[in-house]
Amino acid sequence: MISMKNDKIIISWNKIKPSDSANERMLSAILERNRSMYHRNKKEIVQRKQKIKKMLILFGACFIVAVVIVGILMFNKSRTSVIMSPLSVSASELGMEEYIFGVELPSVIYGDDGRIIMYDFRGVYVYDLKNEKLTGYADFRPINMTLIQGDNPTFVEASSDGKLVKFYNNEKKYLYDVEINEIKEVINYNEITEDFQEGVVEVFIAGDKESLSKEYTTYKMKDGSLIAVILVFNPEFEDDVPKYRNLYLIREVNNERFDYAIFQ
Amino acid sequence: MSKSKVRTDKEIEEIYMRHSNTIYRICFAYMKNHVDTEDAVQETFFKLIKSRPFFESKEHEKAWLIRTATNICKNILKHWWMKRENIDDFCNLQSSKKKETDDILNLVIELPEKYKTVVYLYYYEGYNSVEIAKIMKKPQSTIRNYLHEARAILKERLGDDFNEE
Repeated sequence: MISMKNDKIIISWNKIKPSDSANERMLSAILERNRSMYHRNKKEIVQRKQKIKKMLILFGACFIVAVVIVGILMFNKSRTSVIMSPLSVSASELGMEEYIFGVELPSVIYGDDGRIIMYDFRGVYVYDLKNEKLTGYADFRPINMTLIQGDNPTFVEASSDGKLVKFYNNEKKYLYDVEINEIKEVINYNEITEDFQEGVVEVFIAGDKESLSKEYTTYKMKDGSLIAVILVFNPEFEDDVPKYRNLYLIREVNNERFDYAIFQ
Repeated sequence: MSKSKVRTDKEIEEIYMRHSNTIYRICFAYMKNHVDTEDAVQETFFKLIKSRPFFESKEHEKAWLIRTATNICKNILKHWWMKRENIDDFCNLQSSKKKETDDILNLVIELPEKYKTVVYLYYYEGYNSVEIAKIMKKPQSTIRNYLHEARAILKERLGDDFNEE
């Protein structure tokens, strides 16, 4: 600070000051405002704390919900992941010798002029009639679902359009998409809208059923065609067990017959 | 983020006692009558209560109050000008309030608004231009110009009464 510059101005300014009553008035109004502001601040702090608490609770709840949702999604994802590749075992590896007399033939669960789907204790087979070869195979062995009879058997069903196959037991459920050759484990089949009603009828056709060299079962399809699965044995026995020769599919439509040897 | 401080009644009262005369005089320079000056002083302290500024020193505290009082007075006057459509009424009101001061102070408070706080701080409070620039948060050159221009006006109006050393 430097010395005052003009005495007359200073003297004039000195005359300007609040009177005692003005001071009292102003100070009381200011303190009154301070008190009300203090109470308001206190109230605001309490409200703010409550708001923060609510937000934290809400955030916590959202976080928990998010964690649960992510957990469920992750679980579902892991449960629905592809567990095996179709045709991981080729037809030639199926092991013809595994067919022994007395074991049930593959059961046909779908057939049209494009493909035949059947299954036995080893898995589901998709046979392409146009290309005359096995194009799809879901192997039951690595997933321990080879029991198709008895306690907790594996049930196998094909959709009415032949695009999907369900196979399941009391513990596991799988969905085989024949179109894209993909097998998934699923929790349930709720999301599947396709019709899985039975469309195959097993019929008996008189023939040489009694022959030791042949065993067959015939099915009637929805489109009226007949499909017979025939297991052909070699009449020569080895240790009282007939030797396997081949598995045939015979399709009969409008009295026209088509033969397919599955294992060439 | 700037610090803030909630003050007790005692603290507010202490600040008021320290600076009330200074703030009163600055407000008076603008408002030119005691009634409006009281309102402006109160508004300045209300702002202190509401804004809760944190002061590093007494000088910082004083500078804040001077700046705030100046701005509040300017705002009030601006508000008046906007509301008073009849300029004659305003002039009559202003002239009637001149009676509250002596002739020398009348000339000081009739200075243009931008000079008033600077003149008060320089001639009454005894600050130099550097200190005033800090208080008002304005460039030193601006403050020096204000003082130069205000001094010229005062010399012209006060004549021999203005004997600056």
